[in-house]
Amino acid sequence: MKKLINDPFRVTIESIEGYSKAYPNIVKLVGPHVVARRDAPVVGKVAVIVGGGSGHEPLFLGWVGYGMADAAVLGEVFAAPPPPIILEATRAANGGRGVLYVYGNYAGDIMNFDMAAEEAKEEGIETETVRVWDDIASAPSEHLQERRGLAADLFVIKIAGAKAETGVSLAEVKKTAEKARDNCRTYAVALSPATVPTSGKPTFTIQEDEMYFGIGAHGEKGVKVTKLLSADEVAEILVDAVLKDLPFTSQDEVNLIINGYGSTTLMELYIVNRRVHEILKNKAVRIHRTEVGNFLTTQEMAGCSVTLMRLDEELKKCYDAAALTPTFRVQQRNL
Amino acid sequence: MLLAKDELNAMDAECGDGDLGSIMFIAFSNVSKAIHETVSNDIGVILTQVGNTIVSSSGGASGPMFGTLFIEAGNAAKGKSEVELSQLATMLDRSMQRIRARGGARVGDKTLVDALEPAVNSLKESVIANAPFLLALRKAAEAAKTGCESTKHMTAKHGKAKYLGEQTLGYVDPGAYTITLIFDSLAAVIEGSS
Repeated sequence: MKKLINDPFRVTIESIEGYSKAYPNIVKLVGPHVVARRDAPVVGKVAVIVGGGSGHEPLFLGWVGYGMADAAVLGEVFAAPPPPIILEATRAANGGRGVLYVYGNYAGDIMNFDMAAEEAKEEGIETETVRVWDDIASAPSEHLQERRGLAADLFVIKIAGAKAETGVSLAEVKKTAEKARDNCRTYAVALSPATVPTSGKPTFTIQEDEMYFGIGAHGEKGVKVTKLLSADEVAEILVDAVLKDLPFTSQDEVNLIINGYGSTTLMELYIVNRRVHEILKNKAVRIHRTEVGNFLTTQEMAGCSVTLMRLDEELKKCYDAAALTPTFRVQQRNL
Repeated sequence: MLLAKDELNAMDAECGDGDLGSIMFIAFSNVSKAIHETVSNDIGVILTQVGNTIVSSSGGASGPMFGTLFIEAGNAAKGKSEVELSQLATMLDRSMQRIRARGGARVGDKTLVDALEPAVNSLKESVIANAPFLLALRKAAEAAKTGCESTKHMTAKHGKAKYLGEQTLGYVDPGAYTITLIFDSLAAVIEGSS
């Protein structure tokens, strides 16, 4: 697999450096693996710190700024960041009202962030944690806490960031972020695998005429292989599965993400979105906002996921609140 | 450990993202450097330094797991410039308890615990039997290997592999394999210096 990189062992460091050079008006480089909003620490509000493995850009890295994350900390590609750099981010973002860690539900992230939280406590910094577990393919709905985190990271981080901007307590920011998390469901499909730069090999093998449902964000093998289906058929499978899982019902109001995994074109994502909107309309599920694009990618994996977040007034308001980050922006809408 | 990079990556690719070998390569290269730079006879200090180096160099799940192995052993060895068999068994037993507490895995879950627990139990038995140090280490390394082999027939219950269900059958767990490398090295070093 051809990639536009230098030393494969330096992809993360060089990517973060290049990113911080692109957006010096919004973010600053705190360390080789940590970026923070330019005005961090913002005193008097809860700091939202996001992170996990790199290789999923713009996930985490791209969402640092007003209204979303105060800092992002990244490990090597698909690997959780170790505690010392999580602490670096924590100290850089801490504004004196506590810190909320928001990340995907993966064993590595959990262990490293928990270790960092223990040490932050010793330094007098209060922390809480919200893990995102929206992937319906990774465990049955009786075991929500075993599920992986996918594109709902975007929703949960946006909600957490907006709530933190209002100046409320750590407990309240956590509660609202958890509510967002609990109302999100995602299902994904892949058409071709990713390659981790340092290993040089694809993360799974699949035939030219096949697709893999339920693949993971790190290119972990999926759970169901089918022949290549049309975009409309894929839309139907993904949406039906997501709707059933919460379950979403008619008259629910939702936000929607059609997420591309890296090498799937916008054209394809729009085609999928077309059918997703039709299906939801037929089921009388109202769509408030739609996001189509690459949010949680997996290097050059081809594929997409459908994410729905069921809204209430609070979640709707938080989602529509202003945000200014390098890759995600909301202008304050007059409601 | 450094020589096993490609092998570990290949094993990790069967059930994860194929980078355990690279992670361990970097971690243990740093460990090598750190040991050369550490001026101390205190085994506790050295092991804790090794553990902290692994934690900061690795990330992923392997950082906290293998880091804890050395950190906890180091905590139990503070102030000692020599350890005998029973002390080693105690040190590694503490490591194992902490690893199980942090990661939640038990024997049969297809993780490093499947190699570590048999190895620690073997050391404990050797203590009771008053076995010579080198023999005890060799037996522990064997027990680790047997435990590691047994992971071939287990479905993964932890880490990225746990979502793959039966697709994880037939492969050895790379974390368990890493444990066998550690015990093999331990035995080889003691053999080399006796």
